[in-house]
Amino acid sequence: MAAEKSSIITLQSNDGVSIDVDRQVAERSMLIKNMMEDLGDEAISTAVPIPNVNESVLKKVIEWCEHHKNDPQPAQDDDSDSRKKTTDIEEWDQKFMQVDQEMLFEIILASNYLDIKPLLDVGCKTVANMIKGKSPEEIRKTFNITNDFTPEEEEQIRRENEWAEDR
Amino acid sequence: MSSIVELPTETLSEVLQFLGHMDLRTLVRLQRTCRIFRSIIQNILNNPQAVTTNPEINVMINHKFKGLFKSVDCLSRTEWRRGMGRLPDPELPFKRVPWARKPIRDRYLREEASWRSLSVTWGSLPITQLEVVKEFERRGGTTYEYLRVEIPPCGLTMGIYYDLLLSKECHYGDRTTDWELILGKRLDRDIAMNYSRVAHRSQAEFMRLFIDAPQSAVLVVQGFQGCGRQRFIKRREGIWRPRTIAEKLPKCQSLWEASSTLDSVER
Repeated sequence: MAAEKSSIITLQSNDGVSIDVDRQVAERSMLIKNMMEDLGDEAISTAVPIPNVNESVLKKVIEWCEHHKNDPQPAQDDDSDSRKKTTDIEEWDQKFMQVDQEMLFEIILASNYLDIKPLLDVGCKTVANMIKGKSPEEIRKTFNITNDFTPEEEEQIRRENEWAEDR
Repeated sequence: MSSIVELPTETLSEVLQFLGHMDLRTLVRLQRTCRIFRSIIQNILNNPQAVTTNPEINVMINHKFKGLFKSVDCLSRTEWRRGMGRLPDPELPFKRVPWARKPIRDRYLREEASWRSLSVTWGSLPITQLEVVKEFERRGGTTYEYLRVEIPPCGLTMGIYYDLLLSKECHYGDRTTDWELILGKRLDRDIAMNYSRVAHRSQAEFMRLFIDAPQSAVLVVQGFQGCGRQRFIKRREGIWRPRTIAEKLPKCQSLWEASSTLDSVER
């Protein structure tokens, strides 16, 4: 078992780049962990394709897993309860998430696909922090969102929520 | 991939859940962004995830409606000392909410205003059982009344609570001196039956009437009439007086009444 833990596996990004990763690091991804458990040692000898993730994003995700390789695994069941208790982001993760918007969303999507809940949470909290205190107009501008309400709908929503405009 | 609205719905919902726990006011406002935001946010607002195991008044709600949960919170230290903990005017907690001035007030006092559908304890466990304990003190004795309020299965919302505070069954008009919403407790009826026989009680004795019940709350209302004289509150003409907002008021069921001079009557 000890030898198995230190073994290397190869991940392949959707743009065809192979990256060697410590198995312990790669297994921060529940998708990969489960796959390894299902396939056993034979999976180690072949490259694991990660179809939804390109090289630069995959490298970034691996960087995160590397830093957090010794964190305790999150409990499977009580995820919704315990992990939302804090909206804080630890300092290293804050720095890690200082990337452009495109990369930020790519990391979120990759961690969602690879099932790395703590990274997904950090990504979601980072976006939530970007949104905090902003007006609908600012959000539309920041994220390039079109206002798709009819004037009547917009007026109704405004009336319902106008109280929250005041600090 | 460059837009937040292209995230899978469950992921965008996660983002907005976190936002709700950081900044509920912004979450409410962002319903105006676009349809996707609107539908996800409505779902979050109406089914908040509990992040604590105890019910707590939501921080934003407490900021906007502070004195309505514990009426003396609206008083300054000097006022509190001068009135010996009694409100000089039972409408004061309403008149001192941060939005009491015009025209901001009008945004709050419409029935469709969305704060009304928010859970009082948004972000923690909802309150599913609410009791009202009324205590009226006057020369010659004290009377007690114990009511149960009908609240919907989703729990106590701000709209119900606001109207309840202003509905006739839950206060003593101008003779109301104080109220407080105590979360996570319910009245122990067996002890309460004997409560009226305790002539002088301390705060600690009073709290012993309640037992822990995570999703329950008790609204304690106190009234006072001193020396047989009518309490006289000066109110200037044209000043705003709080009124119930919904046409349909929360239903209360009176369960028990007692007086320190008479025996308890159970219903």
